[in-house]
Amino acid sequence: MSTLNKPLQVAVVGHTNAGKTSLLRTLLELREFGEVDQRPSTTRSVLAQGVWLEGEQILSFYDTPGLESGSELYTEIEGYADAHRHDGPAQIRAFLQSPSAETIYAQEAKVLRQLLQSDAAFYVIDCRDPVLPKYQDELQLLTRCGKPMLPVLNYTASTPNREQDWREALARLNLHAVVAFDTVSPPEGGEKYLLQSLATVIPAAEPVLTKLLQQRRQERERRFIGGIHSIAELLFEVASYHIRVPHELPEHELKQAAARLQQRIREREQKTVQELLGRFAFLPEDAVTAHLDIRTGTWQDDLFEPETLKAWSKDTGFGVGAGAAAGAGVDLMVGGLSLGLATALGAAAGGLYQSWRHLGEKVKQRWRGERELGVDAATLATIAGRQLFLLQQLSRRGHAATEAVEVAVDHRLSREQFSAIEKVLRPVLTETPDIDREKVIRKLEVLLQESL
Amino acid sequence: MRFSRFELFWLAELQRQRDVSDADQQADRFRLTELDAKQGMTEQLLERARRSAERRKDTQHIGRWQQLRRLLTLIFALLAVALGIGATQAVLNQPQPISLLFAVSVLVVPNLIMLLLWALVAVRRNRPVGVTASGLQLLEWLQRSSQAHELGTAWLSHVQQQKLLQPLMAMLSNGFWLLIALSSWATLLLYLSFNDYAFHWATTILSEEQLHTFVRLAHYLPELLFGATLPELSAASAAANFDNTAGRWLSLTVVSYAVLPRAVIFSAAFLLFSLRCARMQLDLNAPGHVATVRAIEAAQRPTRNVDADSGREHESLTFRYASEGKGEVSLSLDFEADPNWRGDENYLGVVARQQDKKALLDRLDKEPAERLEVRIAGSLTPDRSSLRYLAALAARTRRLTVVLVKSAGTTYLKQWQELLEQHEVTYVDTE
Ligand SMILES: Nc1nc2c(ncn2[C@@H]2O[C@H](COP(=O)(O)OP(=O)(O)OP(=O)(O)O)[C@@H](O)[C@H]2O)c(=O)[nH]1
Ligand SMILES: [Mg+2]
Repeated sequence: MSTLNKPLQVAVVGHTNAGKTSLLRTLLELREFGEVDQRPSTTRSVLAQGVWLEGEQILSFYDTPGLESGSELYTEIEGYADAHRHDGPAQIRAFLQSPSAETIYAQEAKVLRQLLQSDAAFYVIDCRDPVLPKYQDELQLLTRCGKPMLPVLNYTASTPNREQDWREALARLNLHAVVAFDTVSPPEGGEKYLLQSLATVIPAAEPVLTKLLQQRRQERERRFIGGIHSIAELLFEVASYHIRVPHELPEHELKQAAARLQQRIREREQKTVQELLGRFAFLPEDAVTAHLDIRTGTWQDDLFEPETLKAWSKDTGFGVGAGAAAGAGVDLMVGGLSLGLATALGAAAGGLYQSWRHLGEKVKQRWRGERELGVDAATLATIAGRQLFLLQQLSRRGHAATEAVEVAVDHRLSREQFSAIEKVLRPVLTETPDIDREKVIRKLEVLLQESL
Repeated sequence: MRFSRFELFWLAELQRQRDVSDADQQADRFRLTELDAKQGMTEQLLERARRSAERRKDTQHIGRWQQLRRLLTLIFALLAVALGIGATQAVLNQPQPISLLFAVSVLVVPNLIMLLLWALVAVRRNRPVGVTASGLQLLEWLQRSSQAHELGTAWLSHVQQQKLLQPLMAMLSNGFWLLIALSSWATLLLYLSFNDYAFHWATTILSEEQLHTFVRLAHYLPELLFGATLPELSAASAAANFDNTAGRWLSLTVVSYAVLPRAVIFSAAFLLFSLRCARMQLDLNAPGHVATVRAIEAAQRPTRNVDADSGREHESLTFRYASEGKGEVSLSLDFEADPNWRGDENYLGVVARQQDKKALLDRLDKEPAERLEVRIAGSLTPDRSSLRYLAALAARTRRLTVVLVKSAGTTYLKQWQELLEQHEVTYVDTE
């Protein structure tokens, strides 16, 4: 970091509602940075936030209030042109000394003051807007501060898109290093272009910025791997949920038991959703595990909705359970599960104490005529599919996004995608003793990665 | 209380598991600003775990756990010593002359068989088995509290993550057998040194050949390591010093097959354990730690307000209307969103440039309008300048109407409506 002896100061400026605060939320990965709103004049103060690399602060970003009176102010500054010919910064400083900098142009003055103290600035543009004269005045005004300006075309994922018009207009001002961005769904490599454009105007910062980019990439990989791990743990644990019920249980009590199991599964899934959100620095409310029912306009938790469950077992060949458990997303296993018994016998033959105990349990269950409720394959396939979907969404999502991700049932894995995972989970589903949890989870991680 | 590095990592794992299960409560319990920002992240996490543990009185539980662990180790050790002594005594209490084959079988063979079993079953296990498993269960059973259970779970997870479980289990299991072997060997030495025993080679069902093979096998290591002399195998075992040779040979055999292998494995496991202990690292990417690390960073790297809001007193606007006016004027402010809009003869077109805006005001100054219609694109954000201009226009007409021109996509219609209503300006939406 020898090339920079103090953190780079970068201001973020632009018209109100252009997405300045949003840009910083995404760039800093701080979901709660500043205040974001569709109303104009949302940001009222200059906020500073640092960026650290290996314990050392390398950058300071400044979020500024939106410029709203660019044209009038431009005219006003022209009044100082005679006294300070060809010296933009002096004209700006003269304005900042004037009374109007404290009154009607107080908000604009904050921006200019900050810009004078910065090394460079991102000029954020809502590229849905036409290139209006007032924006051009604004830009002229900002360039008078004599600082490198890096135009950021925001809203590139929205329509209309006047990116081309803006590029031409900016080129006429000799601003060529233009970065296309979208704070809500940042383009692939968007961050890289932003930071690299910074390096083009401040070459001394290049090494740290490159290092920062590298660190960010690693961090992103780590998050992804950690997310996969969490999903694998979720599948393992949900697969291991079992509720033992007597053989002669009345239908409604069986239904209650199934509902208890469902509730446990939902809660466990929710825990992973929260874990993933936290891992990617999002807020608890940034994802909903439900879908919006178009007919009723209400949110529905559809993991165990009978309709969808029935639909699946038809189209994807997931079997349906028997009796009361049918269509409940759970399996009813009779007599301690014959497959479990077989595996238990096998393991017991291996001579381990736990296996003998397990075998005893199974025999006892069968003798007493107990049955077991456990999660079924279709439910696991849904959980796996939609968590992977969430993971993918979160890894692409900008921290400026304000709408929640919908983790709905239609993201489930197909029969083919799921069959390998089911095979790995089989010992857990059948309560085989002496399972090497770490090993199963590692295998699941590989399979989950492959199904992406 | 001072904690060893091992214990600190254990506490960190305990804290991590708590963070996973109830993050909010953990966050309330500990203020992250107490940490020293100059330390590395791992150190800060360890420090947080330590202080939380002290506050929750986990320290007492750890103390008790460690005490019990020592006690159990001692009991196991005593048991091993007793077993070792017992085995030797069982051999030496046989009617004399004592069968050498029998002595070797009792003192060496069980040890070797268990070694083989351990190698087959336990070496690569990443879960507690054998003595370790029973020890852990016993430890938890002895304490029977939820906190002890939490500690136990955290301990296991900690040693698994740091890859300490395997060397630890190897130390325990081999340590146990090492003690048995040592004590039986020491007992053997003691008795053989100060008592007079008679030995012989004896078998009932083995053939001469089988006996030879067995003895040659058994003699291999003692000879290789210590150059031991094999007691004469021939029937004429009347050599004067046969018992002396036999006694020495027996004790060297016990050393070679029971004591040494266990000692070597134990030392290797101990080395590995120490090495891995020295290299322990927290996985900052693990669930629980991720959130804590982020929270610590947020607490230590806060957003600063460097130029605070000075209030909106200079932004207040009043819309006052002219008392008289003539004719109608219409215009589009900044931009006309409807490409097909032609307007009527009163339409002035788009007024966007500052000088055009100024010129319009001058014109209306001279000749205020009865009605003024301003078309505004709903896709453009409202801003102070536009509102100020609207206020200026209002002062130059008797009736101002804003036409909000809709367009596809997200728009600022709602924001415009709110602001216009706030100033009681009449507006209409286009369809
Ligand atoms: N779809 C989309 N919405 C965006 C984007 N950037 C910002 N927004 C939205 O635009 C609105 C304004 O964003 P802000 O970040 O508050 O804009 P700002 O420039 O900081 O505004 P002021 O602080 O008022 O000057 C918010 O509703 C954002 O959610 C983008 O790239 N795409
Ligand atoms: Mg803002």
